Amino acid sequence: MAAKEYSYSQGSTVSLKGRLTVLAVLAGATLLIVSIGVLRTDAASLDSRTKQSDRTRLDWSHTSNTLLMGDSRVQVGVDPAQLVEHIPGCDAQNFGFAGVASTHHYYQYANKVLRKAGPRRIIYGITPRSFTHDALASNAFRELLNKLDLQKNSLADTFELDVISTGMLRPWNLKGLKLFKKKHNTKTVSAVHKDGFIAIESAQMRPEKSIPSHTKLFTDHKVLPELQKQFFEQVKQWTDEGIRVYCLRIPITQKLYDLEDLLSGFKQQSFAESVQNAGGVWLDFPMKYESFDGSHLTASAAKQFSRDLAEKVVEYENNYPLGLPRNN
Amino acid sequence: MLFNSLVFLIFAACFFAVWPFARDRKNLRYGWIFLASMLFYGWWDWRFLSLILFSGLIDYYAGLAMVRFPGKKKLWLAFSLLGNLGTLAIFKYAKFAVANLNLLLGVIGLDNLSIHSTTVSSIILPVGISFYTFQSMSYTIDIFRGELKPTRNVLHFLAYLSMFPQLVAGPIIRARSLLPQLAQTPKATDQQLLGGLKLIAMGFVKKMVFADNFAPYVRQAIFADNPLDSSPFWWLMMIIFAYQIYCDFSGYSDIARGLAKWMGYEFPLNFDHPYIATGFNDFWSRWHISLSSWFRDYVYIPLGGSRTGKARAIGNLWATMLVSGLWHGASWTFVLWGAVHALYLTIERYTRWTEKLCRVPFVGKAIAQLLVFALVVVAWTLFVARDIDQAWCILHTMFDFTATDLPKSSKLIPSFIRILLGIIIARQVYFALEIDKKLPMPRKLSVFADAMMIVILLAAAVFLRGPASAFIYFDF
Repeated sequence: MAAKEYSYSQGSTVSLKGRLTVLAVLAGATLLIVSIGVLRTDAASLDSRTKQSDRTRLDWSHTSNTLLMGDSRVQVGVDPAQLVEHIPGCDAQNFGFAGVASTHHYYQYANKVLRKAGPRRIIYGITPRSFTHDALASNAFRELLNKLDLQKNSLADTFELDVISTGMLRPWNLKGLKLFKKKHNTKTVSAVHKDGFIAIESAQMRPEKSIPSHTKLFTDHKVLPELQKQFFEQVKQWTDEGIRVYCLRIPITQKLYDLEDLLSGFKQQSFAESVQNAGGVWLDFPMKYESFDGSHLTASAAKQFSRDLAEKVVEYENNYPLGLPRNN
Repeated sequence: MLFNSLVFLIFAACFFAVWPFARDRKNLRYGWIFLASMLFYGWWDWRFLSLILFSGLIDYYAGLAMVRFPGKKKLWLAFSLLGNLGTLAIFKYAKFAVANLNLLLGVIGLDNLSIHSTTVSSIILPVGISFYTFQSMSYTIDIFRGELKPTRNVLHFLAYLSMFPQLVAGPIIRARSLLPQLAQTPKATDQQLLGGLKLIAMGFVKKMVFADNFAPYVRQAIFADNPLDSSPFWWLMMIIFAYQIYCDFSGYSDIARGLAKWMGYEFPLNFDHPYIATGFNDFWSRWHISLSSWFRDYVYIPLGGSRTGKARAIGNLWATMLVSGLWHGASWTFVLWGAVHALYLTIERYTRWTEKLCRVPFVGKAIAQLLVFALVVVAWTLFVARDIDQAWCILHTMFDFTATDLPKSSKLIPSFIRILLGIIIARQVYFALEIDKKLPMPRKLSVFADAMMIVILLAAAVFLRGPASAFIYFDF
């Protein structure tokens, strides 16, 4: 009976009505998807915008004379715009990558991004974790290169990465979904800048947050001397090429700083001496800046720190101008 | 090429744009299917196209030879089996065999004879090799048994073997079911068109929303440096894995069946709500049906099935289940997984406990379903674990009811995963209670409801998708 009431064919061929039904369904689905995509109010997750930024930064080619290197602490802790503003003739870019290990994979990229000639500097944020087996094993930078290489294989995949993963068709951040829990005021304002800097302002300050994970990390993994040696050799190589290398610890909370030095086996004083012996410059900063998780600076603290960093660089370069060997 | 990729959507759009023109001309139809399927498979690694062709040509010529030289049928069947199983042995089982042989040589003190593992370590496992090899073998076996006439056109056979919707992860379709369909000019009906779209949408949701969102948490648990010592955590994690593998695999089958419907063909049902099975025999008639029936028809029955006495039948059952376990992967964990299911089936056959339980009024059937599901979940630990030691550790924790650190465990599984799990379990209950049959919808409303559901499912697949990954069964 029901089949007779509706003339939707169950026969042997597709009727016009059947075809139209399917077309209407597909059109409806497309309309719904596009509408949701256009009207959605949630910003692209920091993760997807960071991925986009990572990809762009790997394509940088001889674009700056000042390169900020290191892991996520550098990425969210040093604002190149502040350096550009306060260091004369400086053209800075942030080339920090979350989870990066201090290896040749990463170092090689510095020469690709820095200008080929003229006064050049590398400002390297030292993190004990980047010299551990843990960083080496995950090797986030190499993973990123592999992944992007794979995804660049075809036009369709490139489109998929650009439009589908980061555009209006990006998936909702389901991880943020809280059930049966009070909503905290955890609004996090994040901006991914074209120069590679990621500014994070969090309404919820949890400076103790990184303590457990770092305790576990450095209980299981100590800094590896061979990775540090490799780094000093690289500093020497850069210096020999006429690139000024500044090394520093990006400020974190004093508690985490003490914990890192206690557990990781990282000896800052001897590390700084080795950097200087290799031709680099070690810069010291107090651990006085505001961190939202104990390990990363808030955007306002990062700007302040960047200004302080610029000041130290200028002060140093007044005595030892860029382009001249330091011992002159 | 993955179904859940943009490349595939472009590929499918191109294929179906040409299909209406190709399907009415016989050779063009076969040629288009073959060409598209080669592109589909070659996108992953074009070098392995030769392997499908090699496997296919062996069976094509063996099939013809069996008819031409009926006196030497056995010889030609042996040739076909040797070709297919030999390919599988090299590409899938060589590493496993060498590792075990070396272990054995070490035990008996003949280390000097051991084979260097680098000889086989570079062998890549071609995607879906077990599926197309079994599909190809069924062709020659059916001809040997006189149940199928060989096709005389090599293109027809290769189009059947390589047909892209089911090429890499099934369903395994017998030649006697698909070749006659391919010979007809296919005309998709209205029902096939909408039904196919519904299956495709459902398949994408199962894979992209459920399986892909579950996958990182299972992976994290299995590969954690310090696995959690919590019984509820591991029960929950194994239940999540049970649904991950179900959604992953049945999602692929749904998409394959949907694509076939759009072409005007019918692929058999491969999953029939396996987790509401009331017994293990019932489970295996619902889980990966095309493979279970393949093993039943080509291994269990030829061994004598259940007609050769109770003890022999049990032996046949064990042999079939162990081979089935090995089919899933070259590792002892898979063999043990097969063994555990063989044990379940043996106990069920001797005691008929599930049947008796189902007869208990009101709650019997539900309890049987729950117990069968729980035991299936227990067996999945062998399937997902990295090795036997880890499987044992997980099982030990699952049954250590003093390790009940629930708050700690629940934190590791976020809310949205629990919501997804709740949805999929609710769907299972819906079918277990047969609500779909008890409250049938009028046809007109049903078409409207289907249309709405497809729209919502496709939007859900786009916006609720998890991190993309390949289908689990590609590795088998």
